[in-house]
Amino acid sequence: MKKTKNKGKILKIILVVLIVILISMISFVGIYAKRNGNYKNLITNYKLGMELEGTRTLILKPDSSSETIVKDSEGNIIENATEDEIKEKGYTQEEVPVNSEENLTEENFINSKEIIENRLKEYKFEEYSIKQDLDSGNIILELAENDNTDTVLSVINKQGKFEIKDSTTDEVLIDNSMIKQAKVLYNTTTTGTSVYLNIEFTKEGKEKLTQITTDYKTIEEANSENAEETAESAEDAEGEESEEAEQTQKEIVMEIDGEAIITTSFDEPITTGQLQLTVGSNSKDSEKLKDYIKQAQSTASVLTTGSIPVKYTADTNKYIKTSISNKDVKIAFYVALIIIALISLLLIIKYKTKGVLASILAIGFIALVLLVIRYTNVKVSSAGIIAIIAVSILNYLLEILILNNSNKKDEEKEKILNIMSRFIFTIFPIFIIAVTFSFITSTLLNSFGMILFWGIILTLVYNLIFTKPLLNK
Amino acid sequence: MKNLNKILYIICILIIIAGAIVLKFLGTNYSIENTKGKSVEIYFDYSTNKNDITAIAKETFGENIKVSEIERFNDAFAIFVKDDITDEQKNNFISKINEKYSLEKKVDDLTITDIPKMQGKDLVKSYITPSLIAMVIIFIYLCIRYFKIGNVKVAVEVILKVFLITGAYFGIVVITRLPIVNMYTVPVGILIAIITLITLCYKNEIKLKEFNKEKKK
Repeated sequence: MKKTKNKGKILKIILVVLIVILISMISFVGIYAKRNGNYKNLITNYKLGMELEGTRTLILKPDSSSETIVKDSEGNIIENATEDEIKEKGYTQEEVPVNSEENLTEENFINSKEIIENRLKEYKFEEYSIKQDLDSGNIILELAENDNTDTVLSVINKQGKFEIKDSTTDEVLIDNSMIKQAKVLYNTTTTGTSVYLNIEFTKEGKEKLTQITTDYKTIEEANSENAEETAESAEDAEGEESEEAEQTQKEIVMEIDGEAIITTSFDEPITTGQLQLTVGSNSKDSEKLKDYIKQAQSTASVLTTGSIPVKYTADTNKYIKTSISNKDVKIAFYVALIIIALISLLLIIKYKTKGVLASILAIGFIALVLLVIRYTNVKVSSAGIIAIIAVSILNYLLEILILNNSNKKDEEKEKILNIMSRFIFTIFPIFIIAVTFSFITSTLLNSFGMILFWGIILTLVYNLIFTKPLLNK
Repeated sequence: MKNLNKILYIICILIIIAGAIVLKFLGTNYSIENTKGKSVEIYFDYSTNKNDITAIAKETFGENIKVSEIERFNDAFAIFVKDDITDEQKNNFISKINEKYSLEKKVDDLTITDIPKMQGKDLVKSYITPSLIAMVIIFIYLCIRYFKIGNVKVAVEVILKVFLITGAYFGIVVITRLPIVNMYTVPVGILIAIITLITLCYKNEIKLKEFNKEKKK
């Protein structure tokens, strides 16, 4: 009976050790299969954070160029004047710097940097760093390279000057100061998904919008109603003609950075204080839809964050690989190896055979964590590496608690569940940190939180499945 | 043991004070990527070796540099130099590059950009809000969990000790003029805070276990 029990125990140990070795092999070496004539690792690669992979670096400099403005005899700025008009009406042309001297102040530089940073946050761009030279105003923007980088870069230095103007008089009716926030909205019907840019105005903007949408009402509606009446008598028709001559269609033009987005009138007054612009309608093509969303999101982030006080130009835009060399990676690998070997040695000295098993299990745990990271969409950043170290420490701690308990006399031994529950209460604050950091958009912190979160879950499950049956006897 | 702990915490307080004084008068010592400096970019028509470029850059600009590849073809490099660079250094660098690769490049072929200093607050600000939220939740948890053995007192003690030990780590970084590196300075601080927190919570769990045992008796 005892022999069978021993045999069963040995078999269990061999089985667990083999599983752990297998996990370690898969994680550290990989699974290779022939694909298109070459052997390829089938295990998904790590997704690395920007400091471990590389950054798209953009240098933004305050625009030092000049622009020509046209003024009339009274000094008023005339927009869109043609050469003929300038000659005929005697307008004068002046070269003025895009950024005036008074505009290039430290306060404006700081504001510009903050607005750029807010745009990145609004866009929910996970990884970036911004440096600024307060003397020159130059901004160095480092972004992670991903699907959104190009879209973000194309709008990041836009001044974001939003204006709703009268299309004929150029009178500014609404500007940035009246925008509360801009959001992207979707509407899915059987014909496809439509993407809208929803601009929400402040209280003042809401009132102004109601007034504008009343003043700039589309006349066709009134005309069509009149048309029925006018068909009845020729006299009325004459009357309608004269009414049309009086009521010319007034239109507004919506501009971002001087570029007209839309010229329109309104069917009915908008009293909600929200304006919806269609970015793309009824699309079933996922790629097109993605583009619409990106476009709407970038415009929304620009509108929500307001206008940059200094006009910036993008000086350079290049991808810079991480300065971490293969040599650095090798050094880090050997240091980790030495530390693991030393801990294993200490475990073996203190716990003998159980120490050997604990060492194998600990290596298996690290392998499993690394494997889970690859499949859980977690980006590995430097803080993520620290989280891997933290969960390894947690695992060693639990192993030691189990080993210590197994070395106790039978009457002093605690139930494994008691040890586990005490361990859970001990590390619960760490779990709080993990969950809090997991909700942060920043890759650096998200990586830390997510790895810690998965690591804690794995520590508990792994030790219940593997460590408990092996070491708690 | 209690005295030893007291001494340890007093040392931590002294280190924090010393660190604050050093920070006030000398500031922090930022690593190359975070400090004010220059980026020297050099472009080639073909792939070259990063190690060779690094060696030449170190010979010319000193050991305090970092070399990164630009794009992915090994034909362009950015050398980050911590200090200002002189015309002589630029000339030396170009002549060494020309000598190594038999080229006829000129100083004007280098793209030199001023790199501004990273603001200290920018380095830590992303950590502040989540750390504060986590701290408040942890504080509430500690109050509830260790209600029997001291309630708020235990929670305050744990948080304070974590602050002291983590603060001492940052104090040591400032005093010893260790370069502040994005990659590990703050994350290592968090690791230290985590280890301290686990140790203190484990001690409290043991106290709680003994308290419950006593109560049963």
